[in-house]
Amino acid sequence: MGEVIVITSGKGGVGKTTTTANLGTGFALMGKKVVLVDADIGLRNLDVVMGLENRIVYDLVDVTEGNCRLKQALIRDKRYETLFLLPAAQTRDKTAVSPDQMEKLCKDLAQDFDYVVIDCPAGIEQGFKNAIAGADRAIIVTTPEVSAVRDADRIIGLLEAEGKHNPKLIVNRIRPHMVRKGDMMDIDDIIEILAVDLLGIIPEDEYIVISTNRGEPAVVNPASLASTAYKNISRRLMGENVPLMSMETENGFFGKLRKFLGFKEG
Amino acid sequence: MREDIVFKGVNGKLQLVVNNTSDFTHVLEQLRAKLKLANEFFHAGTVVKLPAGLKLARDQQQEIIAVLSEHGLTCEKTPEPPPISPRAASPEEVAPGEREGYEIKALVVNKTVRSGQKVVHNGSVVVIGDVNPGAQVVAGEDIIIMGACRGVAHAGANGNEAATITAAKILATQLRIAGLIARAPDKVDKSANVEIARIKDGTVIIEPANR
Repeated sequence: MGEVIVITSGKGGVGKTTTTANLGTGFALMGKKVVLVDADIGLRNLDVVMGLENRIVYDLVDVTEGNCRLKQALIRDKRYETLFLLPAAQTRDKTAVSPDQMEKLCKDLAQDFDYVVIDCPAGIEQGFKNAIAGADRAIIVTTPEVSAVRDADRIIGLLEAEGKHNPKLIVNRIRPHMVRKGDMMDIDDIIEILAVDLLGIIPEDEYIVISTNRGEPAVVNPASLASTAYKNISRRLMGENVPLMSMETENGFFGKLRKFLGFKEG
Repeated sequence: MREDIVFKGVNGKLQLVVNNTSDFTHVLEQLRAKLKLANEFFHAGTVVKLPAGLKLARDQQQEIIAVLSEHGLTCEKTPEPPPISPRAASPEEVAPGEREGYEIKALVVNKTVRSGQKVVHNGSVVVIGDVNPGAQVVAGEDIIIMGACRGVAHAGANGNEAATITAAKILATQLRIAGLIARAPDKVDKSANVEIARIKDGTVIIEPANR
């Protein structure tokens, strides 16, 4: 029985889809059998980020409505044998699926896969409720901005209300030099407000834009900083003890960050 | 005729709201009439909660319970003082003059109150955790927060000007005590001490709690 992980944030544009694509590909790189589920019905784009748009025949709504078998809707990735995508429908909206249907779908997928990674839509409405319905654990993505952190806080509260405790946090798009100058919230500030375990930090990386446009997840390119950060997070999710990577040479910033690793393991 | 009783759905349960100022015999009459009219609507065995804001004598409560049970409704017994569940009451139910009849126990919230969440209680509220931005705590009496207060805290919501707000860190966007609202200055200097907010000479002031 595999693990169902939902990637959520509340606020849009913080990197849920990028995170889903990269963590999923990271699992596949390590030989795990993975399926990525795009729960953003009506605004799908995980398929574009994965570069699989032209292969979609059936989608998630076709599966829940019984128009096709689950296996028929799964698209195998063009690079990795063990990576699959279940795309969202683009011509429908969030009400096309119910939380119960999603829960059943996740259960079915978890039978065949080691990891089921769900890309949650922004917002707290039906789409969010659908996406989290079948999840075993939740990963919150936020950026070092007050608005994103506040939305993350709301999401954590809603997850708790649904009985999904101890979500893990990814802080995306950190710019170390801005943090150093005090122009950007630092990790301490974010953790202090959200009071959840830190899973990893992703530095701002221009390569993400390039990789998204190419339809090729960043983890495929070992030279990218964000790629290493994502790979580390995948390994941590698999139970490995990976220290937070260094984003710059000075120790001051990192001394501070390392302490969160202890926080995480504890 | 004015409506003196209202059935409200609160957290999936029915709650009976009674206008305290009206004559009790009127209230009973109206309750009977309402139950008769809505006989189809109420399933037998439905639990009806009597709110704490109900200022009734014991025998009056008994009478209401009796009328409810005639129609197959069970009444959630309210021991004295009546308990108030964490999120059950809405702000308008924080009735004035609550302190006279009986003592209200403090509500202890054993977690961080997050954005979008709201805690309402007629007595004092103790939060073991933070109150985050976008969260609200409304109390009839004092508010004590063991962590940081970054959201909106409203103490003495029933008009009690002696109510206070105490927190390990007061970083609130707004503090309200009784009818007064205080907004945080645009630049807050962080204090290391536990602070307390109270009304002094008609304004809300914040000072170290150990004074």
